[in-house]
Parts: sequence; C-alpha cells; structure tokens
Amino acid sequence: MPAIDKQTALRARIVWPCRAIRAAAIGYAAWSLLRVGAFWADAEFVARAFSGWYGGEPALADGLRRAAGFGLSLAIWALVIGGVVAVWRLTGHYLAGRVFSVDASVALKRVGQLGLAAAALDIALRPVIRALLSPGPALDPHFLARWVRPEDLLYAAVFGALWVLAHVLESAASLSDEVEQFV
Amino acid sequence: MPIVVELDVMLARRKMRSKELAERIGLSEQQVSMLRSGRARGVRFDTLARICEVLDCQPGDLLIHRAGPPQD
Repeated sequence: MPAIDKQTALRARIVWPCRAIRAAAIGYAAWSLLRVGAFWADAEFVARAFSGWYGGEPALADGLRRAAGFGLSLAIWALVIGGVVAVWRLTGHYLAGRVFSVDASVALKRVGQLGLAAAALDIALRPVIRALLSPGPALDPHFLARWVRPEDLLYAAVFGALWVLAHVLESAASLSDEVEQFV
Repeated sequence: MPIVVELDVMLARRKMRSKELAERIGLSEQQVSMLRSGRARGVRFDTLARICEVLDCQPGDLLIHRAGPPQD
C-alpha cells in the first residue's frame, strides 16, 4: 500500500476516537468546574469531606475561607483548561492528517506537561487548603499520612509517559520529514 | 550538493512533460518537481530504475557529479 493511502487509512481510523477524546476533555473540564463549585458552596459537605480525607474533627469553614479554597481549586482547574486546549490542538493535527508531525508531538508534550503540573499543584496546595479549613497545625500526623494518594502516582505515571512518548514522536517526526525528502 | 539531477535535459530530449513522467513512474508531481529542482536529498534505486525505464536511459544520463568547494 502506498504511503499516502496508508495515511488516509490511518486518518479514517482515528477520526471518531479523536472527536470522542475532544468531547470527553471538554466534558471533564466543565464537569470538574461544576463539582468544584458545588463542593466549596456547601460548608457542611466541605467539613465532612476534609474530616474524611485527612482525619480530625470536622470544622465549618466560613464563606471567606471557602472562597479562598475555591480560588486555589480554580488555579488547578486553569491548568486543566490548558491541558484541554492542548488536547484540542493535538486532535486537530491528527484530524488534519498531520499525525507524524513535529506540531502534533509538541501538542502531546504540552498535554503531558500540563497534566503533570496540575497533579503537582494539586498535591502542593493540599496543606494550604488544609491550613485554611482547620484550626490545628497544617502538617499534623493525620494529614501527613494522607497527603499523597495512590492516584497521584497514577497521574504522574500517565502524564509522564505521555511526555516521554511526545519526545519519541518528535524525533520520529523529524526523521519522517527527512525521509519525505527522498523520492 | 555536488550531485546534480539532469532530469530536465532528459525530459526535453524525450519530449515528455514532467506530469506524464510523474504519472508513469507513480510519483506525485510535487516529488518530480523536487527531483528536477535539486531540492530532493536523495533518490531511491527503484525510483531511479522506473525513470530510466520510462525515459529509456541510464542512471549516468540523469545524475552528474560536479566537484565544488567542500561542504561542512
């Protein structure tokens, strides 16, 4: 099969998964914003949730503290939005047939970087949010034992793998450009 | 590059347009244009064989070495 036919066949195979990924990414961003907003709006729910996550007595946080918590959560959400934009660009390159291109690998690298940044910021902000909501010391033994969760490692592994894969694909795309100059 | 592709000369001798050559050897017009203008970094043996077949010539009729100043 000639190379052009192979690329057309590949594009045909990835059209609907790319569109599904775009829809899922936008849906995730919108859904997570709604969840974050609903969470911080309910004082009792915040107190119960933080008591469950980090131990200790639940304490009702006033509106100002919850607004600050919401603001910090929005900072993480902003990185998620950056990741969604990168996913949109990546799938845009794929849908336009630029699968093995440097542009697509740069977009994939951006997805990995923003995912890692969002996961790292989430971990870093936990003691800050804990300090906002609890009158006790921010780094008490209950909190330290639950500061980092198993899913944090999963996120680090998945986004780290995407980042490494993007570097590999960038090299492959450069090689592909060079091969195209041979007729 | 000191290797020069003299495809234009051979096309003129055979009174053939590059579009017809592209169709007969199974390349795109853009690829033949790259070859004619010297923008191609290399030519595959099977492409060279098909060009020689269609134009009834030898590889030496198409490729010429012109010595010039050494390149980095």
